[in-house]
Amino acid sequence: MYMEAGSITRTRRNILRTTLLGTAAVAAPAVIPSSAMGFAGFTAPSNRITFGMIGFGRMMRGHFNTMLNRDNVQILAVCDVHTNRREKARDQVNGKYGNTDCACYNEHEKIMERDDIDACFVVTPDHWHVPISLDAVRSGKDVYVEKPMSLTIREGRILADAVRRHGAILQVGSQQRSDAFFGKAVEMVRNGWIGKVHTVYAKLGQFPDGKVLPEQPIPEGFDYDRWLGSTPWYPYNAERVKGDYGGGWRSYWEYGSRKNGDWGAHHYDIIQFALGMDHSGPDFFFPKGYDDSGCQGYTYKNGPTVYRDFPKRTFGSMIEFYGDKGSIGVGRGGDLQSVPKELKNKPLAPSDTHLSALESHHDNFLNAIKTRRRTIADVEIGHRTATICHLSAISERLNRTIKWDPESEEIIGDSQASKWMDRPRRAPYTL
Amino acid sequence: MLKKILMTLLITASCVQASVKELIPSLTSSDLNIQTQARLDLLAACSKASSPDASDADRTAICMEMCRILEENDSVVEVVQPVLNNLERIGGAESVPTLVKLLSHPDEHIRDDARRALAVNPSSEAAQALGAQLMNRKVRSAKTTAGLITALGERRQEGASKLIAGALTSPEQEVFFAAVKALGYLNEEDGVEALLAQRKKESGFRKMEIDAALLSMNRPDVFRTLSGPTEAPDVQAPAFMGVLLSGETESAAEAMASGVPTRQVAVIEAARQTKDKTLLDAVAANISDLPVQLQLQALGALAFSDNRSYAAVVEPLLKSEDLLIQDNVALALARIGTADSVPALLANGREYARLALGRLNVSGVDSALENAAEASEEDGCRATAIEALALRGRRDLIPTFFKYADNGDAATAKAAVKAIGEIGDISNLKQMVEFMMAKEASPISRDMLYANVELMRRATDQVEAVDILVGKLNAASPRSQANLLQALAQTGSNEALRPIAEACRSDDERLQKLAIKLLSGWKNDEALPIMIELAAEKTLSLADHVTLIRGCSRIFAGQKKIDPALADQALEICRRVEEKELLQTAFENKKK
Repeated sequence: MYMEAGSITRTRRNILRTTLLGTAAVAAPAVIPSSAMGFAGFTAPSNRITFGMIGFGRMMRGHFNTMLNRDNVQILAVCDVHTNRREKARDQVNGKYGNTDCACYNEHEKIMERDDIDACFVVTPDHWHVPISLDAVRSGKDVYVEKPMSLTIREGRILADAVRRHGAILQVGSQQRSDAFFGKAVEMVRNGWIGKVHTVYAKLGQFPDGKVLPEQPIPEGFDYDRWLGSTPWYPYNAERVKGDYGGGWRSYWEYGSRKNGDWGAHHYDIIQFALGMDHSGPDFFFPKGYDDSGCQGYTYKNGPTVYRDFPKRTFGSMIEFYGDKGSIGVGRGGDLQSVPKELKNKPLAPSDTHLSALESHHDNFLNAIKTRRRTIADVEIGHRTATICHLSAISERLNRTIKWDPESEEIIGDSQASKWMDRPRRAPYTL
Repeated sequence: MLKKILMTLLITASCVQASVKELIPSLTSSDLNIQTQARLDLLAACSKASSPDASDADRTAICMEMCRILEENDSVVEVVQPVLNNLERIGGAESVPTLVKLLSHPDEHIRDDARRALAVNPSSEAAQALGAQLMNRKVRSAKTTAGLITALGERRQEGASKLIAGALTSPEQEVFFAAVKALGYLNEEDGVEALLAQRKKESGFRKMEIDAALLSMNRPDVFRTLSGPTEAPDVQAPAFMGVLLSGETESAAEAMASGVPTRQVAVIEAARQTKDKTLLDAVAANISDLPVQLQLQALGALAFSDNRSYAAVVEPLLKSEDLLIQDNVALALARIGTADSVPALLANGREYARLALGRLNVSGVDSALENAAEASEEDGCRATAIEALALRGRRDLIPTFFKYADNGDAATAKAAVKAIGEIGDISNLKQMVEFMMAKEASPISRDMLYANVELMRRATDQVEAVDILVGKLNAASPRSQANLLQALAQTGSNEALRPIAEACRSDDERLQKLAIKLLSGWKNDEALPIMIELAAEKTLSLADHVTLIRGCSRIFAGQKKIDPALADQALEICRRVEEKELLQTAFENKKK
């Protein structure tokens, strides 16, 4: 929308040099690289944004194809711990551009060392999201990172602070925020059209327990140690590292918060958005068996209770909001229902809070790189949503209630549960 | 009292002993499902013993038992690993001696598990043990040293910087990076001094990590040091922002006026983060002189100030030659504009200007837009004003929009029809349908069709909406009939399926052919039996039969699960081999 196709391939850093030398050389004799503050707000509109793409599992497919086919983007490097995956991606990039320029790395740090790369996509399993994003931000790059943004609450805070400190742009892959129907539902709730919300249902589903697996030989060309990264060492088994939406690594606590992190990162995010709690969160989490709902859930102070996988939902939607004046069901594929029925068709007035996205999730990210506006799924938002995922998982895993102070970001009165807010890292992986 | 506590501890310990020990056979079971369950049971036991409801004696008892198990089974990885992982979570001082022993375990992964357990063990004994290990001069791998340094850094161990600082000169990358990051977390004077000294000797990625560590300490003195003019811009800018964020804002105006982008970008970002008036004023005073890239960033800062006094500064940039600037000014004015911003936004007329006019929440905007919508067609703002009024949810103006649609110029009529489609409801459908029929030859006939589709799509009573259109079908001209059918088809609703299916049997050949075409393009599964039934009719032309079978094939191909009865029926009625093969391919692909 904002961009013009760059017929000449110049990186943002290069154009920065020419732009600044042309316009500000008198006052600023130094050549300023765009890495200046990751505050890399110096992108000329006609210039391409250069990318490093990290993690070539299932989730990368859509991002990779979209970015590869955009005129305003140039992929300069690909990275994966699977040799064949990264080489295949490199060949695709080179085939598309008709050259042999795309670099191919096993270690993401090599992307961070390059000052001709503006931004990166971090589409790895959850336990690598923050370490890679943090390295990117520190080295002056902007970041798209898949959801949930973090593996632990503590590392999420570290990344959120670093993004502000370095003036970086970060977008979390919670793309439901950019969907028109979720946007409308959020606006309906936020503007009080269903009154005071007392109950919310979120449909997440279940993963099987992450099982103990027999050791298998590590396949040739796969850097298993790096795949594990900071997580505890376990013998290799293909099932453990499989990027399967129905299980694989997603079913292991070691690499994420299981369903609470997988679908929770989407639905809890929308609930936060709707309730106007993007920079805060609930204050009480409970496991199954806490009340007669038979569900896990959490409660906002003076606000609604959110139940996970409540079986008797009115609309059968992914997320359902119930207020004292009406209710809303919203899900993917254009599912938006309301009681009263006409409510969903009511247009917003200027006095209403407008929250619907103005552009696609990818456009929002690319435009933010140029304008330096916060993205629709900014780092603080991603951190707060991920915090809910993690606290829900801790409550589920310890099978007990958790009291949380969203202001100080501390678990109250449970020193043992508090230790789960971070995870000690396997050497030599650091943050 | 002491006796009572000791007794409680002993009793609790004996209970726990039984429960944890009982798990050992399961933890080593050859059945991995049993192993998995045993690990979950161990987790549950540890969770219970460490819950706020339990006494510390419960926790201590289970930890002591786990330590005993570790020492007795230290060669059985299936036992050591899960027990150690639980000790990592709930262990205290009582666990330290065992954990220290495991630091010398022959299995490097167990050694690292033990180190991690010490890293999060809250006791001072754990800290001492880690420090002692680091100071021990025995030969060890760089990875192990890095792990010990990381452990001290992660636990923010007071005074550890002195132990770690020496590692900054290590030739081993793992050790160097671990030391830099640990010193950053520790945030102690000794660490600051060591990092500042070492950065003079470093370059590239290593220096970048040192700079990141120093900046993360959030120390005004460090920010001042790193914000000097000789520093590289990528350090100087965040450091200068750090100075500003620590409250030293007096240099902001000078920095903005300096023309030095590194300083300016710091002020702008600091203004965005804090909404500090001194910083925002400095940004506003200089926005017109900034390079385009910084203007964009400054617009964001001013927009989120929520201070309408900056509207007058921002508005002139609507005339920038740069379209990106224009759009971002409009977005800024949507938040901080005033009624005075309306003429400039109307004159701009771009998508974001219309959006801004739709959202501008100040008095006087509605009347200004209503006047513009009524105004002469020569000023070219009518369509923009109408669209903005629709965006403001002005349903009360729908009768006026119908009037504009009827007698306005093409652009005005188009905007008015679109507005009705966007904010109208089923109560406007009949009028819009009649309008479409009356103006069937109009250049905006397609716009009217879309408006009707929108009104139908949003109708809360689909049957009523369909009936409104069906009621008009018989009396409509062929052209309007086609429009009505298309409107029905584009809604894609089940209710619309019935009249389309009926039109497929119409005597009017033109209408019948259009209905077949629309039905064959239907997306929902519900159309499938109807299409098969129609395609089976012998009176149907071959061309129409083929069109319908191809439609069936497309729906089958998109289905997650194919109904075998319907599939057989479709194959049975195929008149030609080509369509039969097409269907079979779709079925085969599903099987794969």
